[in-house]
Amino acid sequence: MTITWSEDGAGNRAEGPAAGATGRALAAPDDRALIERAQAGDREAFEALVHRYDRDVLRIALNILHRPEDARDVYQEAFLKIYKNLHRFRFECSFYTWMYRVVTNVCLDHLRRRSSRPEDQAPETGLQARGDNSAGDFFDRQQEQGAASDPERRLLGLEIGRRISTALGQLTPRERMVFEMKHYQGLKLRAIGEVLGTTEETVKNSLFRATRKLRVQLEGLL
Amino acid sequence: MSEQPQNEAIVRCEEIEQFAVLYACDELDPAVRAALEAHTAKCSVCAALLSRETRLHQQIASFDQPADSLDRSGLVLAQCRSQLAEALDDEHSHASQPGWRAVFSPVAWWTVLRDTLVYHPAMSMAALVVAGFLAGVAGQRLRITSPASPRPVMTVSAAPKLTEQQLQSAGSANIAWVTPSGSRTPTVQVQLMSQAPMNIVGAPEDADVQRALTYVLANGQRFDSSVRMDSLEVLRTRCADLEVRRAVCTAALSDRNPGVRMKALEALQGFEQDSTVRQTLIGALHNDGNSGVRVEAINLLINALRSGGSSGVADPNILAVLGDRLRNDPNNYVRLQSAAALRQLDAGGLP
Repeated sequence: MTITWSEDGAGNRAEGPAAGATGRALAAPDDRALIERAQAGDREAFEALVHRYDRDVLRIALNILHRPEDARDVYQEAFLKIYKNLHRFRFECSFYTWMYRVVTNVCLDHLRRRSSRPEDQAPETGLQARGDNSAGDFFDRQQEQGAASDPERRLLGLEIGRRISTALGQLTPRERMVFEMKHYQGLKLRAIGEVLGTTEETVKNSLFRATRKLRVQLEGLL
Repeated sequence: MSEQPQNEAIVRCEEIEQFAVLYACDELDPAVRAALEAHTAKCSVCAALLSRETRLHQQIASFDQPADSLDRSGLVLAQCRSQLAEALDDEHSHASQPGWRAVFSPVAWWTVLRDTLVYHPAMSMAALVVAGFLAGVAGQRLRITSPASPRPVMTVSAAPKLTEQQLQSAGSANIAWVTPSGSRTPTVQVQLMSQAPMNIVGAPEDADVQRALTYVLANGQRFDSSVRMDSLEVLRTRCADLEVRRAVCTAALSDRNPGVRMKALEALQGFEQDSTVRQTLIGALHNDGNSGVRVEAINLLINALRSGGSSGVADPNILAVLGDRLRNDPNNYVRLQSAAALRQLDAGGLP
């Protein structure tokens, strides 16, 4: 058994999140060969599958849970479930959809557990917590330098970011998941329905509700 | 909204809110999309709604996602992969040991006994009392029944030294810290499984303990990653020893688990002036696919350059690798550190 870490294993993405996710959902022609090898007990093949998709998985977990330690738990729990249940995958849907179903269920469980414990709410994200003059880390400062030349625009951007974060905090776990997969993973509503095990119509309604909450929060800024 | 649009059958003013959301998300059929655009061209209220929805969508798209700031350097991903590899190793080792074989395994028996004793202290104390009583009675009887004999002969033999052959036949290991009763200094217990299982107990500086753990590290492919991790944990204070240092360097470069490679690099801290260690750092920085390992390597390398004065500047390998990482490393932190180190070297050395 050998673990081979790919050269791009640094967590950097060559493509945008939406493009990457959609592309993978449609393409990945050699998934089948890898899956069949992994189902036969080939660890390397399973790890190759993990490395193909785990950036998106971690990204979803971080975006939804806002805490690296929770995201790590979700990552581990989800991929262990996938490893133990891979023999049940029958190629009736794409591997991407099947995997996302597992991941979203684990994420939803975490969100539900968290919402039942008010003392265990997610911390503010960098954008929420970062005030106008807060230092942030080195990379944050690098990013902000461009906008610093237009203070008014920067302030408006910060305010919009804060309000979007507030609105996202008000969404139900399912709405949050739909919002994430639509806007940041770039999945089509039908694919989201498949992942969540529901109809496209239900997903649409969740998206409408989520958008309405965002619109209310951003009233007067758009 | 008084205007009646031409495509009233498809797009009506009261439905515009939902259509606008789907329009902005690119979820409308081309025909409906065209009808919506035709409708908004004539209906200013709906056009304003659609425009607002599009702006909202743009704002959402440009929103700095939490994942962007929470894992900018890729370290969380590296940690996730490392933890998953460990968990899969555990799964694999559980799966590869069938139940009937566990019955004959001394490790399995020891685990069961240890768990029983740990979780049932009253029962273990009672068992010890009974065992002591029985041993005492049996001893008395032996003394009474044994025939009178000349002074008993005592045979003293030194513990056999761990041979290379014994080490080579060892397949799996179990490492634990134990504190002997009456002693405050913990010792290391290394159980090597082979045809004749070996149990080595001693302080970390004990030659046999050190030798066994160094062997585990240098032959990582034959031992679980948790065992390799434990070996490193013990040996990290022993890197002054050349043999240990060589084994740690080997692990840093070639262990299949990135967590072990990172820990090995950590253990080398303070020995960066050793040429082998330095070559190890260069190798890890240049070749390791894991960003966490490369981050650790560049940090140590910069430490080496700082503490080594001008000796590192003359090493063309370091300059070449730093230049390569500056241009090609996918990790921002590694690129920035490489650039900073090169700038400082150009200016005549690191402060």
